[in-house]
Amino acid sequence: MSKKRVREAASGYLFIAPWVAGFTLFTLGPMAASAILSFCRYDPSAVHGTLEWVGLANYARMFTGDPLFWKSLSVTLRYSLISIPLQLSGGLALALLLNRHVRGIALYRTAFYLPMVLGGVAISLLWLWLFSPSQGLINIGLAKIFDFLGQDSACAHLLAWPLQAVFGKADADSLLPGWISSERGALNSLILMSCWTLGGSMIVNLAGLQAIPKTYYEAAEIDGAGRWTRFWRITIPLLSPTIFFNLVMGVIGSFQVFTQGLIMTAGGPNNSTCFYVLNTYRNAFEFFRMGYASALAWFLFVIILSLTLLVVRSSSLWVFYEAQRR
Amino acid sequence: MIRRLEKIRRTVSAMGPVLFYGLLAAGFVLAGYQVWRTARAEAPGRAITLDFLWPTYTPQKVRYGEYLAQRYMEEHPDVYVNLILTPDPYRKLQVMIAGRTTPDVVWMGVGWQQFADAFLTLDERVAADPEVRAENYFPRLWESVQWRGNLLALPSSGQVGVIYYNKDLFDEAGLEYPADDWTWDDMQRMARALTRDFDGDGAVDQYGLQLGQVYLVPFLLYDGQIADPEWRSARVDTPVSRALLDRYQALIYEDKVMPTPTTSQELGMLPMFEAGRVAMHAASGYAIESFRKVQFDWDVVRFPAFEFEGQRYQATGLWEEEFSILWDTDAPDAAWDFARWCAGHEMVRWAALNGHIVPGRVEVALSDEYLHSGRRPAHMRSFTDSLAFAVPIYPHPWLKRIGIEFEPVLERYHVGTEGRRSTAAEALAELQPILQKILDEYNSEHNETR
Amino acid sequence: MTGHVTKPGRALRRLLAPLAAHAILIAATAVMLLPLAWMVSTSLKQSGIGLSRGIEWLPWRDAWTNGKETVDVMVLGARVAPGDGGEAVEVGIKSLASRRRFTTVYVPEGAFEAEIEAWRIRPLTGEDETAEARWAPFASVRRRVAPEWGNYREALEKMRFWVCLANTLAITFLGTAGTILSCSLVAYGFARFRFPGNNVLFLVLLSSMMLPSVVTMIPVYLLFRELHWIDTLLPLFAPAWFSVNAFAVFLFRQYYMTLPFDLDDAAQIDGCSALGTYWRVLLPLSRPVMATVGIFCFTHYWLDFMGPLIYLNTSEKFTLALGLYTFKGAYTTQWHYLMAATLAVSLPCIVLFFAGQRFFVRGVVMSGLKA
Repeated sequence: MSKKRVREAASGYLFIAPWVAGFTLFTLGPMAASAILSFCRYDPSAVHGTLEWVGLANYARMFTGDPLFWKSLSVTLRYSLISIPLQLSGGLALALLLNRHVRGIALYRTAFYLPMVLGGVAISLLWLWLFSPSQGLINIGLAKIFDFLGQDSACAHLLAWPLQAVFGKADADSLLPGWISSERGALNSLILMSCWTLGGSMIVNLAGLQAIPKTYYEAAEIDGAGRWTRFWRITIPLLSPTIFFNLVMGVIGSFQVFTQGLIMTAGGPNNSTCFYVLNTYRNAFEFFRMGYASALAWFLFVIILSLTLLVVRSSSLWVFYEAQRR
Repeated sequence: MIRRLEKIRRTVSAMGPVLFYGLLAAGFVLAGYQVWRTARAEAPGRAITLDFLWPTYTPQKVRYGEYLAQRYMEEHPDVYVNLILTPDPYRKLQVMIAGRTTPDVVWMGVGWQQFADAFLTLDERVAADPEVRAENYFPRLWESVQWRGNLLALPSSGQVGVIYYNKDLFDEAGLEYPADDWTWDDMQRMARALTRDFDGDGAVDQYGLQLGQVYLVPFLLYDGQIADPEWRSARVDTPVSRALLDRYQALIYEDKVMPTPTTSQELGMLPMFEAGRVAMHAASGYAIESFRKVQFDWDVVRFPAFEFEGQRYQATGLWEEEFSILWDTDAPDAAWDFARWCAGHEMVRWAALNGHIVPGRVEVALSDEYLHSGRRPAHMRSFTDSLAFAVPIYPHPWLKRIGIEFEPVLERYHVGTEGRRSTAAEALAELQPILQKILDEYNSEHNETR
Repeated sequence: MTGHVTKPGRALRRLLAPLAAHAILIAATAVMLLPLAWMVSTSLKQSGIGLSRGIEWLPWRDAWTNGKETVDVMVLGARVAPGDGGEAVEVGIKSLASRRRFTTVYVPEGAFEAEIEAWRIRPLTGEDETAEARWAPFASVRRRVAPEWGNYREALEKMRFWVCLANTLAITFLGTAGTILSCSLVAYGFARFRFPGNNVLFLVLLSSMMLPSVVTMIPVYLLFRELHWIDTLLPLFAPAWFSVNAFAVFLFRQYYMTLPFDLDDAAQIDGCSALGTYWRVLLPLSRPVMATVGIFCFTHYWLDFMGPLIYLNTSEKFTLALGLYTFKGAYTTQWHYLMAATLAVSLPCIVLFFAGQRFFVRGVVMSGLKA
């Protein structure tokens, strides 16, 4: 028996060997290097850019010497707090919409997944244009609506008020939102933009929905359960593993978001979109503070890890499994 | 329609495995071929290999780089110039420096100062080389490739901001063309006369003037650089800058002769001028090639002078292009010879006459064949004349940081946020301490001079 | 029995439900595709004019002709003005190609509705606007949709599309295949074997997703430099063969966990080794997950910008993502080329998703995503 166990363990190790090798080379090594760097001052651009041990100075600097640290942390937290629930519910809603057998459903699904595969520099530029306060498609459309309603009508103001509350003002006496050019609206605009790529979480949710056996619904219908009851009593519990998965991936992903802040807003206006990782990136490559950037990254790692563990621990309370494994 | 698509889909699905294995095999073959090519390129059979970093901004730029490498190899059979192409030379060099795979010679443009610590000081070599003399280059340009008294590059090109103007629109409005000694008052007057709303819908159809965000910073420089020559104390907030920025804001929001920054950004500055929707447009020599294609007649004039309390101030942005040598090159002599050749008479002349650069060498820039090539603009001298008062923008190793921290303040002044714009005085008063803090921090981190 | 529906009602619902579904789907799709539509329209416009004032969804081109010659023009706007014998609509147009700059077109009111064949034109020379004598006869402005299909050809030529495509294909397929093979193998190890540290190692694997790649970039670069892999395609796809994609390992492991052990036992009775069981039994069964991982990987490698930027030095090895930067120059953006090239570059991904969509969704279904 024990000999069999040993053989099993040996095979197991053998099978995960590629990962162990890859992990050591491409992840563990670099992680260790950055961990060491986080206790050093290192400016690679300098001719004499040697390492200099500074102990905990980099970590101390985070909490005391860098106003952008707190700012960027709060930006990332705000982004995560809004975008994760939005992604979860939006992805689910889309999946419910697309989980039906109508002709050409493949076309619709492709259309919704399309933004995921369109990438590169053009998409950022495209959104810059869409969000532009005076020339963008969104504001030109809104201006037409306001003109139709009458600039001073109560309807127009009623429509403009919530928009401006979330997306800022384009100008002092304008009814139009300011989107990414306003300090209030920039982050929310980026969140709105991230909803364009709901296709990814839609696909995962769609898969979860299709995995629910039809018989459950049929049985419930026979029992007289309404649409709403079926949704809350069958769909949501059976989909909870999928939602859990999306939540974990959402936490990991949203805390590392920074490219849009780098490309579209350059962290502005007034640092309102200076994400935590953007601050890290700038310290690493624009100010050549490799040591400090490593410290920032490790702090984020700890945050993400503890949040993920929290979510995983809490999962036993709300994630429903059809059957326990083994 | 849907049925047909479905059929195509099914066919593609059926072809899947064939396609997959085919492409997989092809991929391996190609990757293998690339590795083989790279391995071969490392042993070109020449004594010296020079790694040469070059940007791929435009196909034309690539041709320029390839020409340099090929010509040099023809002339020097013992040297192999290994052209390293990249769409983003700065980010690439950052990683190469951090990863210690530095090239030997690099092309650099504005912002080279961020690598100031990584470039070889060239003063001694220049002193020892009778062929390279500071007098060959425009003085402002020669200064712009120095940091704290060390010469860190050889310049090849000095792009300066000038005003391009649409002669046809001037004729139409019955205005005389701007003269070399024009002032901001002249510019404002002309811009007003050239701004038109053809259909009377209240939206301007033709703007008199377009300066653009890039030219905002040069306006801070009319009273000299934003800090003292040693970059120890900031001097952003001067009366001249304040008056000038006030005037600039008025051009956009009071006179409305200039498109707002957002409009310019969205419509594209060059396309607006090319379509005849802007009469005067600030740009550097990079725009020439593009403008040569348009049908209307145009010319260039240097930036206007600003008259303030009885004195004339003048400045424009300077965007240098240059060749630098990395500190850890294996072949410093060969690298020096190559950089000097790239910034030398023959290559600068070739690049200038082929429209690649605005020459930074005096003898090329003032030569008859360059100034009177028969191609537009007629008044090519505006560029070389402007070099007399051009000022580089944030020439400091931490220029990225200066730019990033200035940006929100300038944006609040230029575009405004939350429906409010700050005035020139407010903006400058905000910029001054920001810059001082950055300079102090840099100086304390780099307390010893090299 | 509650919820009983009468027959006619049910028939009506059967008829209306798909219609309503289509209506909702089409509306939602339209919103999603609006930015895309603008990309398509920009990619077909002429340079410069494409971004004229306002929003034009079709690549219009206006031409003025007097019967002998035709000139491309830009319409500046129209207004009602006192014209020749009563009210007329004045249209300001501007020549784009020739030195004749301004022309004002007077159109008799009502002619907008009718076929506009002959608009009267006179040159605007700054003279008295009421001078009616100089009307040029029988000229007309015609508006037509003129898509510049040539943009696509030119854009692809400029970015050296075929060279970039070959490299991108190589990286994408090698990366995707490597990820699928190595990750499924490792996942098999995690899912099917008991060994000390199994769970801990799996958590470590998952946690490797959580460190921002910004800081590991330089050490990894140093490693590839030591291997002399810089300026080859190897750094871009070789790590994939070492199952560095924790997400893919996770998906495969979760899927294997749902497969009964009876399968393995049966295979072993038939004389399969552990590796044979993986290769002959589990891997073929995990095709749906392969599709899922495949499509995610394909998109990732296809669009990756940072990796190629760092590791590639010569333009013969550039990928499509690098090539796209040709049009966003340091100084200006060539919108029409950029959009055309982006669409061309994305097309394979779109086709792939459309073709594999059903399989892809099923893949995520089968993987179960059950922790």
